Amino acid sequence: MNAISVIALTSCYLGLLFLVARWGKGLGRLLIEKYSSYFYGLGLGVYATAWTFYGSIGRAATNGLDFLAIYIGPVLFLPVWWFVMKKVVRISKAQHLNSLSDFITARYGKSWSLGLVVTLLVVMAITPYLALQIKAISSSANVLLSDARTSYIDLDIVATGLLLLFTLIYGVHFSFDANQRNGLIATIGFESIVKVLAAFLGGWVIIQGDFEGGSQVFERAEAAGMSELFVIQNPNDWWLMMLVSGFAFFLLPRQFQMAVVSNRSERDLRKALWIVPLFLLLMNFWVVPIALAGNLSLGGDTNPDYHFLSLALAQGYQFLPGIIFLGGLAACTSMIIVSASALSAMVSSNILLPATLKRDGTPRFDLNPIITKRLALVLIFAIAYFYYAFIVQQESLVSIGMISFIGIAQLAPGFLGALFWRRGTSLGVLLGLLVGFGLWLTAFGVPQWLGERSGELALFGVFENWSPMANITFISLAMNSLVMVGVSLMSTQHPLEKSQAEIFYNIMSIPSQHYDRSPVTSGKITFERLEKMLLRFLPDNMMHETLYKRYTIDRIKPEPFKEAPAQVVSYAERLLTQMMGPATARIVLNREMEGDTINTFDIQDILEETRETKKLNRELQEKSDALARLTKELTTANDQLKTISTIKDDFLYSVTHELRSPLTAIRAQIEIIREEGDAMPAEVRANFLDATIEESVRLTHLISNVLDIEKFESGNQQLSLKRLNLKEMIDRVLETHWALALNEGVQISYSGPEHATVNGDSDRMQQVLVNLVSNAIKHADHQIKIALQECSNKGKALWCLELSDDGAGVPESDVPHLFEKFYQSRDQTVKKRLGTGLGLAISHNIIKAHGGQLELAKNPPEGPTTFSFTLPKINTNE
Amino acid sequence: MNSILIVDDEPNIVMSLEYLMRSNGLDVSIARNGTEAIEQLENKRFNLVLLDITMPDVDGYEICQLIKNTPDWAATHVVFLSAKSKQSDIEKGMALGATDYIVKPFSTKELSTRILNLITA
Repeated sequence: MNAISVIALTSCYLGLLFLVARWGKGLGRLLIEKYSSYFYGLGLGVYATAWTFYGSIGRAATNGLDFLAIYIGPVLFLPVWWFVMKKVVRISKAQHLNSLSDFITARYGKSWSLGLVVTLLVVMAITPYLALQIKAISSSANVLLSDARTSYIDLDIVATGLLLLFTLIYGVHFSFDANQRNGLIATIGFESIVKVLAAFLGGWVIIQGDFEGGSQVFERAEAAGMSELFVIQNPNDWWLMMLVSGFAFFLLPRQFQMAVVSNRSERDLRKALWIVPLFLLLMNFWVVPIALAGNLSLGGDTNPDYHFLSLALAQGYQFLPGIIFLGGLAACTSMIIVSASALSAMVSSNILLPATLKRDGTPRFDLNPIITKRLALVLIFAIAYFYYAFIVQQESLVSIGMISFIGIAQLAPGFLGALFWRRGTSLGVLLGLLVGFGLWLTAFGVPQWLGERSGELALFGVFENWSPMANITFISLAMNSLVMVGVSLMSTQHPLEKSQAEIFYNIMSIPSQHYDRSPVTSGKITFERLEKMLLRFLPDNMMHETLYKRYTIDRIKPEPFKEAPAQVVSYAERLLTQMMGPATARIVLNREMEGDTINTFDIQDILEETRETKKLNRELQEKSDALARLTKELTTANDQLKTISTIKDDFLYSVTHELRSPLTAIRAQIEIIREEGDAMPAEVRANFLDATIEESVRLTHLISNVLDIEKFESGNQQLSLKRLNLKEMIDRVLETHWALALNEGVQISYSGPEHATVNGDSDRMQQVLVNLVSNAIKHADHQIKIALQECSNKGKALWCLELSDDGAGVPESDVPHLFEKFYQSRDQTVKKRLGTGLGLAISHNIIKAHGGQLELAKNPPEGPTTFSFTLPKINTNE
Repeated sequence: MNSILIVDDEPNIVMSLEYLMRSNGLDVSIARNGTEAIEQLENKRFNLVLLDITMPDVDGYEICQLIKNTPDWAATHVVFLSAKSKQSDIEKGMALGATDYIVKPFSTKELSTRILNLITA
């Protein structure tokens, strides 16, 4: 590509950012609000900068896998991040805090000096990092130039200028204008997508297309002796890098901006738990293969940071280098935009605005917060550009990033203490920060400005087997924390600080109506003065959106010369905070107030009240849980009862139905006999009377069968067990059925031993045998065979009795229902049907109660119809 | 002569019904199950069918449905005579187009009256 097209490409992309922001502010607003959690997750992708896009490859090409710590750290920290951020988001929303310095100063008594130190530290740590991004834009553009040896372009000026313009438009109103914020969110989301797509797809095309896949690259790299790049070279450093990166993910101003200030709902945090890891995985997926492939196929004099671009160029792709360049550009610009706007808010609130006020809060000259923010932005871009132009040229991408991370990590003790340690004081945090910051500056800043290698001071060689960087990190953080804790314990908190400490510490248990409405001041101010003061600092339309709306909601009538109620003053303070940070807001407010200035509302009362409500709620919850459990149990029991009752109902219905048939016959016959009297022929009358008797017998059977079944099913059956000879019992049953069999023309034969002892209830066993034999007679054509023999099941000795007939067999449709109550075969018309439909069901139950099993062993066409049952065998030799 | 078909699988009930209807002067035919009933219906027109429901092969409901859906037979009165006494059973029978539903056990006098009324009406 030639210089003009590179400049055009860059400008077009930046122009596109303006369009995207415009879209997010207007049409895209609804979409962003609907899918806020996804945009939130993508917004957090601002973590990936040029350092990730280009720098990781450079690092991997020279130092192996240690770059991974910078991504593994945040991922491992994510659960903690979620827990901490929920608190931070809630506090920041409640108190209208819009930057890292706001957050820290608000907790430590709204101390202006602390805000100043935090701001200075952040500016010093981040500006080189900003410069680095400008450098990356310019260097990558120059890699892209086809005639790199003869021409050189100053893309940096163009890009920096356009980015400044963009931030002036979309980065200033960020803290109070939701529309502008949406514009920025849309832009950062868009840039995250561009960079992740470019990184992943670009890597894929190059590695899969030109190097036949990752494994091929690894094999070749190993053959070329690069295996030291496959490992983590310095594990001690590695752990510290992970820790520092984890902190950075909380504390980098750009992360705070995207995670806290642009958060719409605490729920959105949850989705980030998978979006962020996925995003970082895709960003880094091809880093190592690209680094190795670059080492393998590019000359030793190319800058490994730009292996990605160089490879795409070397392979002669037409569009790919442009796409990769855009990915890198997206990584740089998103970082610059968000960081610069975050820094400008801090510089404005903590340096520029206080500079416009005299010590007592009277204005020295009139500058509103929007102007100071814009000034701050110009200043920051100027410093960054200066830094880029004169200092940053020598260092690689990763080392500056790391130095910046370690600087930012100095905020961790104060930040975490703000959330989890009530005793921390502003003095403790301030001194701790100064110590940590001082050490960091001595180690990195001073040598860097003097043009020396960083961190080579003997002072930092405490742990011999650690690298200088690890030593500095550890020592600065440890000293910082120690000083903070020590000084805090020795100093006291003033009332505002104490109150804020309680709020920060307990935020999750304070109901929102309290932190949103409780007065934090008892001084006096009239409505007129209050509104005048606000109008000086707030944009006009914001007054309508906020204060006037609040009047309506709280039903307040603002009479100009009457004293404003405490909750209005408190709200006004929060509005000021939104524009100028907590410390400056407090200075401005104090000047306007008459009488005692600060008096804190008593957080302890609220907490006490909340605790009691909570306890009550918990008790109620427990009771309600117990009730719910009981209800569930009752429902189950009721369902069971219903089922049982249905079964019983069905059974009763069947019983009554079965009883009705014989009763019908008996009644009809007797009525006819009575009606006809002598008119009835004697033989017909005899037939009728016989039938009546027959039906009465059937009724008796039915009733005793029903009782039997009921006994077995309810478990009330009593077996009087005795030793029985099964053969004898068979003989007895056959004797009584001999005449019936003869009548039907059926022959019965027996084969088996003369003695077969079982333990049984003789009446019940007889019942079974009678049932089976009479059934068989009913269905046999000519012959019934009874066979008794020994058998076994799972090593248990059994008697097995088989009873087969040569009848037509059980119809297939009946087989599954054979042992059901009241089931009668559909095909019983051949012989007279007087069964109760309970015989087999009862027999089945009886055999089961004896520890055996009754079944249909065979059925035509497999063989003759055979019922069989088993009973445990009793050894008579004992 | 008015003809009636008795369909029931209980021999002793059939015996009494046959006697009762004969003494009422009706021409009586017997079917001891659903299949037989259909055979009888195909051979002869009846004024009335006295129909049991629970039968081993084809149940009474199906036969009633068949009668009502066959144009030639549709004019035949169907009277269910069943031990099924649930309201839902009765409603089902009436919905299939039966003229009456008598629950077993029944009074012979009442049965005679109802049937004669239907036939001579």
